[in-house]
Amino acid sequence: MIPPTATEPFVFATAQYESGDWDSAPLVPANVIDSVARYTSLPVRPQGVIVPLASEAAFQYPLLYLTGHLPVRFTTRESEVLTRYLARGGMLFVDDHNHDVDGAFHKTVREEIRRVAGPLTPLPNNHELYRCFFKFEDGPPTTSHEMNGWGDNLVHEHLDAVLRDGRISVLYSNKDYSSEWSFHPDNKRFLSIDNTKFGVNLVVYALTR
Amino acid sequence: MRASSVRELIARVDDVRTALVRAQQVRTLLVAAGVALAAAITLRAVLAAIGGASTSGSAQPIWLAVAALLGGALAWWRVRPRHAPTRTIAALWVEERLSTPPSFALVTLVEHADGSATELEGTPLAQASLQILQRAPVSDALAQLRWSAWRGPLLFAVAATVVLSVSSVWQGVVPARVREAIAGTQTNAADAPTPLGAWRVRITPPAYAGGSAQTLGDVATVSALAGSVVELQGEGAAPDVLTGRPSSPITQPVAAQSRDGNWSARVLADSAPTTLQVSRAGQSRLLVIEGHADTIPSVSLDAPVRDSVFREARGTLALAASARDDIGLTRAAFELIVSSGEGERFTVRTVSVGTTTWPTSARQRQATVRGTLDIATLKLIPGDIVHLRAVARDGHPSPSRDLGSSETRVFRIAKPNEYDSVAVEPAPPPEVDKSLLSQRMLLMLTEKLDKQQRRMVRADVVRESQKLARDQARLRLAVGDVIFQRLSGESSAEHAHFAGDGHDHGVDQQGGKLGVNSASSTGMLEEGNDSPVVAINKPLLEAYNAMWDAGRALEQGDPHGAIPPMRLALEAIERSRAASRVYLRGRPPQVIIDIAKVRLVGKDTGLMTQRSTRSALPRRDAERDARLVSIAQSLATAGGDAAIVAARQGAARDSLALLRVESLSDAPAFAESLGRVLTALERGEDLTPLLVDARRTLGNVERATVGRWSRVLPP
Amino acid sequence: MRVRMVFERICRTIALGALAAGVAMAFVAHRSADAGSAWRTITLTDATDSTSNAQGVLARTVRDPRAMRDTLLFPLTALPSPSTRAAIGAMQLSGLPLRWEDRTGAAGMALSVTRDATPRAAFDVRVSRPAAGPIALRDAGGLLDSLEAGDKATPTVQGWRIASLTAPVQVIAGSGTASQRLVEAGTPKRVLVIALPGWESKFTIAALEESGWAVDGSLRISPTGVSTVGSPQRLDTARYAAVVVLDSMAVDGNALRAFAQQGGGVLLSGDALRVPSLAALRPARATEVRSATAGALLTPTPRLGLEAWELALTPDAEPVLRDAGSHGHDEVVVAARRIGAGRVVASAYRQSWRWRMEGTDDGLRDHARWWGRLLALTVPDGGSAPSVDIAAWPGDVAPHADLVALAGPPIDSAPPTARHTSPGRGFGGQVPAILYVLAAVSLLAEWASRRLRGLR
Repeated sequence: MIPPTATEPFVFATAQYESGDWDSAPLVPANVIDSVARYTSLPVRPQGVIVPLASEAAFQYPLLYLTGHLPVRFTTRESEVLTRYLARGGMLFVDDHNHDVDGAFHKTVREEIRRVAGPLTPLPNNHELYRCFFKFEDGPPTTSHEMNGWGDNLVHEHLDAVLRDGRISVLYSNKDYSSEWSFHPDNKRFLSIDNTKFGVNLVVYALTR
Repeated sequence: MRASSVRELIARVDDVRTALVRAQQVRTLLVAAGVALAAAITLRAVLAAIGGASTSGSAQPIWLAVAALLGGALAWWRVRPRHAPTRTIAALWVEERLSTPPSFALVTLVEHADGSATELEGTPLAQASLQILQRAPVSDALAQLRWSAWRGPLLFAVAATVVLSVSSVWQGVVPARVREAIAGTQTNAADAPTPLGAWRVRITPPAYAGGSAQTLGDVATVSALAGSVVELQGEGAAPDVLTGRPSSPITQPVAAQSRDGNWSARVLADSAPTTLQVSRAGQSRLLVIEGHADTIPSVSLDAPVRDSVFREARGTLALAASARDDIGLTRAAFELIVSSGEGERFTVRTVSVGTTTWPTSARQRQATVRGTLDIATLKLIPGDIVHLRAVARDGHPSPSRDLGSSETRVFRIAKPNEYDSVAVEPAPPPEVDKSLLSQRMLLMLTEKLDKQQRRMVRADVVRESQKLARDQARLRLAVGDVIFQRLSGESSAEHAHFAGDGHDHGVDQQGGKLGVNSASSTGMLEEGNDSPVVAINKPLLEAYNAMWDAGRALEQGDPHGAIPPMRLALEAIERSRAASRVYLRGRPPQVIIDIAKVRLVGKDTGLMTQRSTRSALPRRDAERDARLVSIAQSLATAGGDAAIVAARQGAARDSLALLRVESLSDAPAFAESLGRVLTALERGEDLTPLLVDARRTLGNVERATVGRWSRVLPP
Repeated sequence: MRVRMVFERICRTIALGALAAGVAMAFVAHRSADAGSAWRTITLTDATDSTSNAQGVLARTVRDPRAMRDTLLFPLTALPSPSTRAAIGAMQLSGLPLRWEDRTGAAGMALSVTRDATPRAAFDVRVSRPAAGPIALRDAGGLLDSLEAGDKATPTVQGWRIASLTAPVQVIAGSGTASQRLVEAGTPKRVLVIALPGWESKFTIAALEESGWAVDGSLRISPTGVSTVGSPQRLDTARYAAVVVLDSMAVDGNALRAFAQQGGGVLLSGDALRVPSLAALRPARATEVRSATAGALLTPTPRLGLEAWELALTPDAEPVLRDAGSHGHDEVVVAARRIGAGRVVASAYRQSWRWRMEGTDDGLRDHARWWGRLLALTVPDGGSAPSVDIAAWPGDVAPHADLVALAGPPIDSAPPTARHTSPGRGFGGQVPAILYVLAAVSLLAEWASRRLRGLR
């Protein structure tokens, strides 16, 4: 029996970490997967996976999504895996589900990122990420949380990133895409503008850059 | 003539003899003194020429005195009078002073007068001798003799004294700047480079690190803690000093201070390697400063050893941690982050327990910290989560200095119903605020319209108000979706479900508003036999109903009347967000996308985009190998005079030191092998095996299988 | 005074005696040579460092009128220097009867240093080592590697891949030295990657770019969305050194075949071996997927941790690399064939990106190196002509073969009638020079003594 030779599909992976509520946005993966299928011809697995950050299994998924509200303290093992993961070319997308620069998640996760990958710096709004599939003229799309003045009452004008060899290694968002994208994909039909399109750019960037 | 006269004659001859001997001795002493001074001058000149490398300033006079003594002694030994003039010779010398040819009467008298002076009394010999002594200009002749014997040596000694004095006065009185200026002019005039000379390196560690300054000799590489002051000191004119990074061509000048014939230049070491290029009169040397950072303390939490869940917020917890630092700990503590709240509303506070401090001077490199946590003092409520870790700080003064931290342990206080609902799946967060104009935004817009309506035409007010009413209605429907979805698992069920449809959800529809029916007064509903038990979000119902009121007012063009219910709705939504929600870690809801169904149904299309290229990784190994070979070839080049060979060796040493420090971070084994080459170079040992070893460390040579294909095969 | 006169007479006698002895020895030697065999043995103590000495011997041999009659026999224990080899070759060409006996033990010795037209332009070193002898590989920077004596009785070929060399390169085997002075690097062209977007294409392109390759390609993301890598253009050997096909997708097989015919390189990796349009091009047919060995990516044989196709080679394909199979036999994982002027290489591995992500910490480097090597198997030789180096003698890369080419094949053993001749320090190599030195010194001493006495 000759197995099929189709290109291996993209699998959306959510990072599971010991501290905090890593699973605070359970519908985000489905929504991003839906958007990838909706707008691209990329082979994609219909369901996401959850990957413990302390496990070598993380290396099987070169794009990882990490979110939460609570303090993030990586264990030694998680730090070690994440350091190697990033050094090998993996990309970590971290979203602050609190949308709060005074929040525990923001403060602690940035500290952890600095330890494993280096300091986060603002990502210019003309970065390749914002035009690798859909074009976002003004940088990262705003979320309703920002517009409503919730969380830290700020509209964050850019995302932060750690670059490695000119590529995004860690992407950090205060915009709370975890809230913005955490709805059932079927409800997209009620949206006049699909607010998950930026997720497609994220996946396309990770897969092609 | 009396006998005493003869004796007097002899005594006078003896005086002459003594004068002659003294003249000789004084001449000898003058010559010796001159030579001693000349020796001192010569040594001083030699030391100045070689830059005073081997002698420090305080030791120089001793060496000069030793040289002078040796030179003087040698000269005295060489020119000392071998034969002192006898009485006869003195007599002869007196007779020779007469203008007439000598009669040797005095000589004869002296020769025969030793034992029989009395016999010669009154003899013609004695008389002739007396006449000779009387006629001879002995005093003048002695003076002339002294002048001629002492003149040369005296001049020599005086000149040497003058030279030595002038040079000392020059050194002490004339400012070094002037001396250097004149020396520089002379150097240029003579077109002869002044040798760079040896240097000393003084490393003063940063104040917080303590420790005394360290002085090293003529080294090419020094290691320094970041923040240390590295001072380079040398003798002679101040050179040009440039500082830079080993891997960068950009350099910056460093001001060299000059004082008393010595120069010094100082730089501040940081955590990366730095080079100091010192140049003077066409000669150049390199000092590599290997800056290394002060590492943050390493901390491990020994107790508690694992995460826990407590039923009640009481009791004590033993805490223990150990910390160590390369320089000294100043503070250690247990840090607790207490998170209260649920859903998307959390409050966080940070508490420190068991803080221990040490003075910087204690240099506490290792410590064990213990403490006891009284959980009751944290005033925890069920559901609170505490992240506990140990932190330690060293004495680094920077306010942004990182803390050393241990692993984090988490303990939480269980919720009362937690043990009864372990199978509850995590629920998604409320979706009232997605993708629509939010209640807060609608309220702001309505308030704005209310303020402006006096200045507006009524028709415009109604139109704007109705627009807001439509948005309010959409938001209300969305809230309704959430309520129905949470009850029945379906969305947008407002139209399908209503009171009395036989499908009881515990909600009555009363004229567009929703109300909890009597059967569900406990707030807990049972939907069918297979539905999970979910608490009704009462605030969301209130919000829904307030929105209904607000929407009706807006529809009627009454924004002012819509504001109170809108505020109610907003407040209710806020309460809804903070409402109780059972939230356990577990598998998220399984949403499986039907890829085939949604494939490319999106209306928006992607762009044709250009991917930026990745830059090639630098060929460090090959480049380093080429540099190493070049250095080896330079060292192996024979010929040239000693100065050229020394210059070549100095250049090779600098190149090796540079290559070594560049490799420290990414090729430590290669850097170490280069260190061995440098050591051997300093000691003058055979470098060949060490150079071969260093090349091998680079790993550029790889044995490969050879097959029939025209390329060496992959490994 | 008398003693001195006796001394002078003794000196004179010694001088005359030495002269007479010299004349007599020359006469006797001449006669015996005339009367002897036609074989004359010329011993060259020639290693490469005493060239002038060997040259002197050869010059005297040529000037000797007997050289035209005798067959000269050179029993060589070491390979002569290039100039000595050239001199022997000239003697052979000029008609002098000349044979040599091979006692060098350097038969089969040769050195080849090439650089492929890749960005890294690593040095491909091959050494044909003489039978059972240790060898040392050196360059201007010193010793690079050495190998112990082998146990094979025939010459074997040893290979190296070296990232940095400083010419001249030498290989020393016993008393022989083969050397190459200049090694030119070709100018690398671009690579075209034909692939679908995914982790394999992303990390393969990354590996190639990190190795210095300029990569072109188009990754189609949607009907309208394309991610362009570099500036892809029509296949042309002037622009592209090689084409890499990664996935099973629609590919213009004819264009690729034409590209290969014209000298381009084609690398088919993984699922590309299943593309029907490439059937006529591929060196091997992919039959079944061999599953990866769990955990092998973290072992010293990481490739076993990758899924791979089992390959059925086409008749004209050459197996290039094998992996140890699970059933005791090796599996071919890389195969190659020539098509026209070009090369087509097949790699059996699928999802090689896992090597980089899931392997050891060296995986990233090894993955990039792997792709660099695979591509180097396909690209043509460097296009630039080697520079002319006047000081280099082409035969230096294979000195034994050079000697055979110049002086003819060696004889198996020396004929029994051969007569040894001393290496020659006197006149014509027949009279010891010491006699003439003795005569000269004696005469000088006598003359000096007489002059000191005031005589002429």
